[in-house]
Amino acid sequence: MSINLPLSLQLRVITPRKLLVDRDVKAVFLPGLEGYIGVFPGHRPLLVALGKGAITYRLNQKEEKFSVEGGFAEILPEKVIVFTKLSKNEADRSNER
Amino acid sequence: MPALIDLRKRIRSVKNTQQITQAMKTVATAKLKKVQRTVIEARPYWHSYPNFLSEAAFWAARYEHPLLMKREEKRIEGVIITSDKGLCGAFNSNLLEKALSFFEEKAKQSDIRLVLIGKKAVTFFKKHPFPLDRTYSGKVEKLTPEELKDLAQFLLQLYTFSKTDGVYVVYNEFKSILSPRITIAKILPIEIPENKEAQERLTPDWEPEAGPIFNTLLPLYVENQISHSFFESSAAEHAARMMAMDNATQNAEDLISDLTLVLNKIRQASITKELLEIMTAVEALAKR
Repeated sequence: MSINLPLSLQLRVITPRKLLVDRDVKAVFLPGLEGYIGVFPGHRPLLVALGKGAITYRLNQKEEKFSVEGGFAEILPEKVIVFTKLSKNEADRSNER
Repeated sequence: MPALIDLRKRIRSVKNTQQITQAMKTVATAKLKKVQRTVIEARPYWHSYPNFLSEAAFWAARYEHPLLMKREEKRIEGVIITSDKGLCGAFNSNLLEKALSFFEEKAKQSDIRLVLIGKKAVTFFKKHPFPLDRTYSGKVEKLTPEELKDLAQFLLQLYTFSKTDGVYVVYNEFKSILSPRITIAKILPIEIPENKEAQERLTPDWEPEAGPIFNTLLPLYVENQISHSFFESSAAEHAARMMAMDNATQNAEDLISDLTLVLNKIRQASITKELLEIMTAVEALAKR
């Protein structure tokens, strides 16, 4: 068992329209097809298909979330890459901003 | 010697044309900015998705998906993306020439069917004997994501049910504002690039199984590739129109200055002539 587990995860959320998130986070919660998956730094490699739901990520103090419609996530010990599409409401809202 | 009035008329009409081209240029610039933003913002996706796909494919090497299977190319489906409107330089004509020669070459060994996007492509291929599957004409700029998705579904079905053995997309890629790059991309079967990085990593878990993942991963890839080429093409179109209209405005400017020079020469010549006539008349009167 390795001792040098990374302390944070590099989270990248990529949609065909935009690079949505690219930052270091403490934890991510993803809507997998069979239920939510919590990912903390040092997770073992996992490829997962996502369903509809909310992606939540935890920074030092606060949490941020947005809803997505399906996609994929590649989880590595120090990195999480999410390919997804924003849900319709969310896309409208981010257009307004 | 052309009459003054004709020259004046001509200058006026060139000026009007110049105003139009200038307005078109401004419009194209504004539209380009908008589309360029979507293209550039979509780039991270284009850089990472193939990589992701190749990693996934490396780990799922034994899994054979119908969209990955190569077959002998007996029937080919071509998708050609052009614009609806002209006045954008050689944007459409270059692309269509290239597409035509490419598919004529392919036609020697295989049956070709085409999907045409854009009025320019539709009128061009009326003269050529390729069977058409679908045409989108007259509302290219307003193609919705749903329609693009529908097109992707159609192509995917053709391929999975072995109605076609290869799908190519021909479009103008937005390389820079100065020059679009004509791209012929093979989107089906999906060719997965080699990935060395993946070999050094731990084998990942899959959730759910590799099969269902690939069932959504691959069609999504194709879908996105189609909408991506569509956006690239529209950015390239606006850039090409901007350049063409800029040139036209410049040319109009040159023409106006040439014509004004001629006009002034003629005007001065006629003034001199009139003066001369008056002088001679005065002289003649004085001698009496």
